[in-house]
Amino acid sequence: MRRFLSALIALGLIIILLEFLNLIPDFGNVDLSKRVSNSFINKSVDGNNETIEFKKSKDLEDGSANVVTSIVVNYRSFDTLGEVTVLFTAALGVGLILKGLRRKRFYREPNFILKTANGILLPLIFLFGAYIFIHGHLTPGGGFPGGTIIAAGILVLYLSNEKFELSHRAKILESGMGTVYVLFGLVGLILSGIFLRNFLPTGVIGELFSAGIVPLIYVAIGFKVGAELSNLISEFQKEGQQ
Amino acid sequence: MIYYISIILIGIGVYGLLSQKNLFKHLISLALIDTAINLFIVSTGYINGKEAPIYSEFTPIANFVDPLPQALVLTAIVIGVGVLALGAAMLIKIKEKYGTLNVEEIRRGDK
Amino acid sequence: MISLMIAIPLLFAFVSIVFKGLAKYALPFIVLLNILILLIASTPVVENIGGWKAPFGISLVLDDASYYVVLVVNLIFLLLSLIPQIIDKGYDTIILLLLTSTNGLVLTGDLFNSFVFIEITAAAAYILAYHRNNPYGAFKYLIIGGISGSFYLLGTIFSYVGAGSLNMAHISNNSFGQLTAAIAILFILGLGVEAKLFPLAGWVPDVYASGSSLTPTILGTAITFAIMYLTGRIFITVLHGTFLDVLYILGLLTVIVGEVAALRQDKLLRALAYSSIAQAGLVVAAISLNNIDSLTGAYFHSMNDLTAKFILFPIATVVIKGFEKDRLAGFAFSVASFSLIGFPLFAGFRSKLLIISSAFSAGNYILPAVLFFASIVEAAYLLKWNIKLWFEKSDTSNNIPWNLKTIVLVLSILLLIIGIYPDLYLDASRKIAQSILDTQGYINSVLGGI
Repeated sequence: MRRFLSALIALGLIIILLEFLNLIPDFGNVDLSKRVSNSFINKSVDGNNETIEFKKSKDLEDGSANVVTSIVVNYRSFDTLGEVTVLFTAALGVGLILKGLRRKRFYREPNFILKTANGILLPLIFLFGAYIFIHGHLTPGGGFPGGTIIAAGILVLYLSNEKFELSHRAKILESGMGTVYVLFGLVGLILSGIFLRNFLPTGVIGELFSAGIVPLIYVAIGFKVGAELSNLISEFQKEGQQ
Repeated sequence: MIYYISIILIGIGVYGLLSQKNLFKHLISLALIDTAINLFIVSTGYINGKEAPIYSEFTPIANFVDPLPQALVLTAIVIGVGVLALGAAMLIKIKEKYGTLNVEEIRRGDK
Repeated sequence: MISLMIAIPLLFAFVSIVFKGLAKYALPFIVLLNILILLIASTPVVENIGGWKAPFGISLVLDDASYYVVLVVNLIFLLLSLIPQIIDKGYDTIILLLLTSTNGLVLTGDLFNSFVFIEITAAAAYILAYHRNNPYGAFKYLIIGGISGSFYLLGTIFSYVGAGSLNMAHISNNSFGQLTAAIAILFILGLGVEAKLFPLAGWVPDVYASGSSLTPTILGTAITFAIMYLTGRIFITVLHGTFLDVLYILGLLTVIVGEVAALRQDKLLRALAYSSIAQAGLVVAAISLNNIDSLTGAYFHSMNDLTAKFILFPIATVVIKGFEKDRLAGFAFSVASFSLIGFPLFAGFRSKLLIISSAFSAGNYILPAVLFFASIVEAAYLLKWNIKLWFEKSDTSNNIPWNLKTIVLVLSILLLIIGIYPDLYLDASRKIAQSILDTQGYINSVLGGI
């Protein structure tokens, strides 16, 4: 009976949502010129009319070649600050909730292959993560995926080494990088009176040293997300211990 | 087509939430709904015949899909991860306090 | 400048992870700084974050409505920071994050940004719900809150597809026919959980009645008020009152179900939690009448309700032995319950009267009838609890700390004053109502001359 009723409700919801689909444009048939993102692509929010060319256009209002990054870290940077805060809240909350838990220890011998491969792969994993968030304004990726890759490296460390413990410095790194992000915003506020203003020159689009504060913020986010997710992993891992 | 898939996934998630008694399955249903909505958001930005919104050597001049939904989805995914982590931590505590994850047994234990 | 109200608490929240104990001492000063910023600001202020102009970037909007709502929210946090002993170790950072997100929720002029802030608020609220080892209630809240967040996000995306932007003023300026109805339905699902509407409010008693005095005191006052503001802003300013009938019916159902459920409770905290649901339903129903008097009444009533709840919840969690040795706390408790019932001369009477008269002048007789019924039920259970607590014999006091006693006493005197001279609250709520109804003014101040 319960299953039948839930199926009925779910079906009703599906029908209502399908009805809503008739009201929006078909898949793949979007008129971009009616959306604000058109200005994000052409970087013309402040009235630039020239066509943008890779490695040629310079001193644009926003210098990152990856348009998604330019939205995430520049046009809608405030959202990203909030997003970082949600992750921060969650990491803090997991720590608070799991505090004082009765801990058990599972004795398990890490796999030999995992142990050996870890020694070779771990530096590469960290390097790859760092590459991803340093090049966030040029290639797909950025601080969030980069940080996640670093945290995955930490997870491998936990799996391959039973005695591994995340240092308390990860918390300090997390807190420090969050502070750096807010301070970038406040520096913008002091220099130009606008919170989160990009106060550095944006350079030539497509170069590594371009886009002003965008790569700097993305590096901070990369470290922060890496430290946060590693902390989460360590909280959940500790759950199995005395 | 992707629109329909994501809506059906939302429906499956809601069905799972209402019909299942195990709290862990509730969390998985929530994750399913999150994912379905993220899929929907990305697909609202797709435009036929256009490319990923990155200026590069292969696409030096803009011929891009809508980048904004992709940026929004990035935010939505991270928020979803945070909520899931909190939920998982709470499940551990529920298991510790009540010894079970079954809704009906927990309700009986509360009374 | 107004972005500082979000940036400063956030900065201290980040720093307080390393310097433990900082959050507790910093909280009152941060709140005072926020109030100072508000006092020197003149409305309307529109601040474009990052310098990107209105429909493109994210704008913070401080108009008359958000001004008073932020002021009330910060005053509540100020009161909370004066009773630090109810905040357990480690939870003070969560309170700072909650302050950040509530300020952001009210100030933002961008739909997706409001989603982000709702999710921060919700994440902090889940953690607060867990306070005092209440994992099942918190998990229930997390699941239902997570789903409503998803629907809020879906509503936001539909607005983006329709209007091509996420800015509230820009969306309000576009008309997109039937899509508005779809968006309104999604937003009802998305806000219904936090606004405690009937089928979605099942989490409230489990969370509010967990035995912690911090959780209901902050969630039932500041957060509820911010959500009520957001409800008005989205449904009236942005969506021009589409589908308010559904909201109206849900609100009335919430009142009836909430009051009847409250009557049947044998624990005081659960009864208050259900009463909180019912009051929220009443406010939503009054908002959905969509005229100046009813909106004024709604926000006036919401302010009275939160003042009363700030007295009732902390006392209800510490009182076990009756009021015989705690006459002052008992006095405050009784004043708050009388105001909640709406006895003449108390604050709640004024706001209920305003809601009834606005409904009558709109030719609506169902809301007054429901309100009358609700008041009788409220009188029944609140008087029962008052009698029970006053006549319970005991020879020891409840150890109510002196600062909590002072605060509840001051608030109860405030309720008495509002009952006689309602102008203090009434002016603020009228300004909120006017500014929420003034769609064109909102669009003009955000988008400028575009």
